[in-house]
Amino acid sequence: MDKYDILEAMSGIRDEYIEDAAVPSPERSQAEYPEKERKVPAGRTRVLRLRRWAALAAAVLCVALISVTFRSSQFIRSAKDPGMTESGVSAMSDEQVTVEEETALAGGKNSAPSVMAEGSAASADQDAGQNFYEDKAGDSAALSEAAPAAGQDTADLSAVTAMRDAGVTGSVEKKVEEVSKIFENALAEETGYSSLRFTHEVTTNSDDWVSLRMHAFTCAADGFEQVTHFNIRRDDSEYVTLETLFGEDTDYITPLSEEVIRQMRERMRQDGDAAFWLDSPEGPEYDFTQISPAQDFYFDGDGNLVLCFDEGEAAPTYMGTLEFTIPHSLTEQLLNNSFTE
Amino acid sequence: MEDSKIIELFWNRDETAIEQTAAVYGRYCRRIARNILGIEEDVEECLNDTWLGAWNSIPPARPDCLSAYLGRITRNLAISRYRAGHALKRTGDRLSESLDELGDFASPSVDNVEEAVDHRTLEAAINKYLDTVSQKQRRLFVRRYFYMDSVSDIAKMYGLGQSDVKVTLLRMRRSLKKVLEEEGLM
Repeated sequence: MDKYDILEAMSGIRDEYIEDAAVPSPERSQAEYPEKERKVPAGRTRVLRLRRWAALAAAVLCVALISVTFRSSQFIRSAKDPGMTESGVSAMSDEQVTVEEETALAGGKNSAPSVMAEGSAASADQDAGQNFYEDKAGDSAALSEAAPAAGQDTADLSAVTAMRDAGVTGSVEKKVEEVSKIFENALAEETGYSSLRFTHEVTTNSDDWVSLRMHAFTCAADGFEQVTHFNIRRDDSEYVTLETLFGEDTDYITPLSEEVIRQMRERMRQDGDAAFWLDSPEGPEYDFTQISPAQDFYFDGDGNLVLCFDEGEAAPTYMGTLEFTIPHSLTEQLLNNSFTE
Repeated sequence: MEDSKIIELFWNRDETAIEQTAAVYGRYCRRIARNILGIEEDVEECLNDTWLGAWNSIPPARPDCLSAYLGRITRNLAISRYRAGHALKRTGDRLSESLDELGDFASPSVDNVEEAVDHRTLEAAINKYLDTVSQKQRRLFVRRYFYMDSVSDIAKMYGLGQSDVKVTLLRMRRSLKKVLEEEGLM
């Protein structure tokens, strides 16, 4: 028997198995790897407990950093041009894992909170983590230079205060805890080097809106990115979700979903490699049908509503995070409907 | 269009069957062909051959699962095309990687006629083995060795680390090899 024999024999795999393994949906992946099945090997319990504390401490530290940066970013953003102002922290884990006969020794440091910053340094040269240091240096410079300008734009400071008063910090904290909890559970199953890093940037700082984007980047052998926006309306310093934006009596889900699907089809038409959860061979139950009532969004610098999707939420994960800019006319129409109702 | 209606079009010798098949399963089959061949021109020709193959085989065939049926045709055609175009060993493409992994199953005396492999027996043994593994393991195996997806793509699809996928597949290949040895197929 040669290797082509076995390769060709794989064509004889049963129909039901071939069909079952057709392109997976996020729901199916979740069902396939339920957290309750993630068992912790007895010998690793103590180590994992330490890591759990490390992850939680990282989350707390992250919230503190984000809170501080809410203040600092308004100085940096006083020029009102959107851009990156990142800071971040990583929760690291390292394990010595025996894989069959092979031994994989992960990189990284101990996972005690005191070395987390150092842990960040370990991964900083891999990707966006590089910006951590660059931006930290940039932050310092910007703060000292921008300090005189702060008085020129007291509206920013009041907006930041309003953000906190509006409960945004609590929402950030809740999101961080949620993501950290998932990471913490995943540690029980991960082998090798894993990290969770939060970064953020002010994406919009216009006369109407302030939007803070928080990235949660889980990195093991490959990365998984989640993005959440926190939008504050300057008029009333209110923390706004889609539901509060359009009002609970307005059907914003149907028209926005139709627009998103239209754009998905357009992208697939233009790019043969683009794929979304539409027309799944497995059946319509695996298709993307509508946005969530609390779909993530932000307003871009031109005032357009941009709907955001995490990896795997509306397309195969290789498509990455997704953004769909909604035409201004549609948003206006929905806002008018909301107003008249 | 539903599978049953497409199959009826084939049975009625209605040429729109090919158009409908390409519309519904074009992307599905393209991915398989692309995973094996990599070159777009070859992929296009392979897909055209797939639709022709379906036209010639339905009827008399009436597949229970059209996606698997078409995927199988695409896969077989793509492998044949790959073999024809790769008489000389080439490394670095995706199929070469998969073939290297499946090299564990190669027996040294491949030229021995007495050891010629009965493909149906081999297929039955593979399915018998897949009956015994978990759904999670089976999906990874089928994605890798039927659909010929890369390890990184599979990891992304299922939200797993690449090392998890590699280790699972390594263990499965070893288990399967043991089963084939016990069945006298190796």
